[in-house]
Amino acid sequence: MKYLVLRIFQSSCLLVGVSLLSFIFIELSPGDFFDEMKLNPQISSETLVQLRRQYGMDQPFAVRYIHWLKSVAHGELGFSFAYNAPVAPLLRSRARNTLLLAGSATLMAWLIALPWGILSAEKHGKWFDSGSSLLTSILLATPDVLLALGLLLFAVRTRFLPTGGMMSLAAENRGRWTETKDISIHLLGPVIVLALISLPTLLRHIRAAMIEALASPCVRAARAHGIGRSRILLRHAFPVAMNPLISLFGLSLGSLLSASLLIEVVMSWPGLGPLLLESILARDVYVIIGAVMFASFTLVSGMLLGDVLLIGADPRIRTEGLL
Amino acid sequence: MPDARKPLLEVRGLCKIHRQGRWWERRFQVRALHNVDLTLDAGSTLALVGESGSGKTTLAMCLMGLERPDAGDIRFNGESLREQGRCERARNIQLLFQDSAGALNPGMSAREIIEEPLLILGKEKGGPRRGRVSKAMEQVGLPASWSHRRPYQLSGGQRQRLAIARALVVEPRLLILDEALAGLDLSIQGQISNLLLDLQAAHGLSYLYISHNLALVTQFADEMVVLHKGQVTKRLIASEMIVTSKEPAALAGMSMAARALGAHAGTGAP
Repeated sequence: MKYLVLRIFQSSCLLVGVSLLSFIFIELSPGDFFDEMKLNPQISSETLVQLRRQYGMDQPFAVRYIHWLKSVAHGELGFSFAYNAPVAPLLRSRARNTLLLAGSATLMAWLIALPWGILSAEKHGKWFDSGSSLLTSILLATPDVLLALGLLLFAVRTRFLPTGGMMSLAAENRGRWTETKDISIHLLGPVIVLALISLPTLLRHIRAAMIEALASPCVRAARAHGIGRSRILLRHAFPVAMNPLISLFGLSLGSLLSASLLIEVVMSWPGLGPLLLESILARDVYVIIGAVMFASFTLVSGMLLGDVLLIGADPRIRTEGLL
Repeated sequence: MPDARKPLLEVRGLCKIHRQGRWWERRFQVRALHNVDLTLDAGSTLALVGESGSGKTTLAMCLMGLERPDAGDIRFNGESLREQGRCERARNIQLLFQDSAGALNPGMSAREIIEEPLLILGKEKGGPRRGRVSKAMEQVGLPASWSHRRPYQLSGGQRQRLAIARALVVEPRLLILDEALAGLDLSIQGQISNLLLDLQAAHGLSYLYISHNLALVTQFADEMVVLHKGQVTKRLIASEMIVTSKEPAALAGMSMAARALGAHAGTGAP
């Protein structure tokens, strides 16, 4: 329990650090939201000065940061210049879509990778294992964008999948069931791409951990005791292999989120990705920071979740306080 | 050895070649066992000594069915082991590993560890099974109240006792001890070997004792077989177990204590 409190405290410090760094980086980059308005002859320089003052951009760095922290405390996460609205409500629905995408993709990737990796480790050195190694190498070498474009091409040619968006107009307001079904179909494309992106890494980790576990003395001993194949794999080898995989699970949840930002832009999923891109181009500072903070928050919570699961899974960590 | 006694374990012409290297690599072969003959009587102890890589563990693995021999026959109680499944084998033959800490699943409690072979072999259920687990723990000197403890909560000697309890719970007739006492300190080695001798006297167990340590071998075994490069180079019965410096396998890996003991026994012999 003490450990958990400590970890949560550490994570919060990390998040504060990330926010400070994001502020500094944006401060260092040239130009701001209002610079583009200079090019517009209809806006006078007095108006610009006034606008800057109105949004607090004339204040020194530290004051702006403290203002932002205050607005975080109010649950607003700053103010968007482009949307003329607080950032938090703006991010909320987008973040929900992104989480839906990243969560489903994580689930799908793990559901495929676990049995595949375990089987691959058991067939270590056989054709199934060599074939899957080759496949993972090819997948690893393929750029993410190419995968997304490939799937888009597939969707356009075959019309099996929608080519973008989250819901078709025809399905809107036609009952919960129709909407859910429609969202699921729209979700399928980006989820497949994201799952394919994280699959090779997961597969390789699971395979390596299982091969090591299968060679461990306790599994050899279990074999010598006449224990059958499935029980060896699930009751003996898998629990031994599980620790690094649990940490990987937490990490994969967070890392998939950043991968999903790119895929969202390519496959026009209305998540954080397109919003982040838009606000970076427009230098809508607080939206950028909000999105970055959301991504860091998910990564940190993923790692925290991994640690908590690890404590639950391995009795040695509970009693010896190894962490 | 008296011919009237029926051998419990009979190994005839056992050969095993380890092949290494994939199809794109240069392949090479290691002759792990070549024409090995062994006989072990019920209730007796056969020591298998030899330097590292002489094929001792491969032989144990062949006996346990973890490795498939290339040629030869292993007969247990007159029946060929080739026809027996792993479960049937495990009912009669149990193996004790050197690294007991590693050989016990860290996620399982002592009770689960001892209970598992019974579960697999389908022996007994519920109450009687639990009773048998407690009995096995007491047999090896572990309090039955420790049944919820996990391997990492036990000391090295206690873990070795737990491993012995797991092996004994199915009431095997042959126990293979693969360097089972190596890595333990001397007093615990003594304790465990006394325990093994007591168990042998009580249950008529047979041991195949694989070791480097000649001092313990001489204390333990009724007969000793020396393996060198996969072949049996020497057979000695208890009264002949004197180390000769001509035997390369006996020399290599032998502890200083064993050498001293060998020299002492040599000078003391009539």
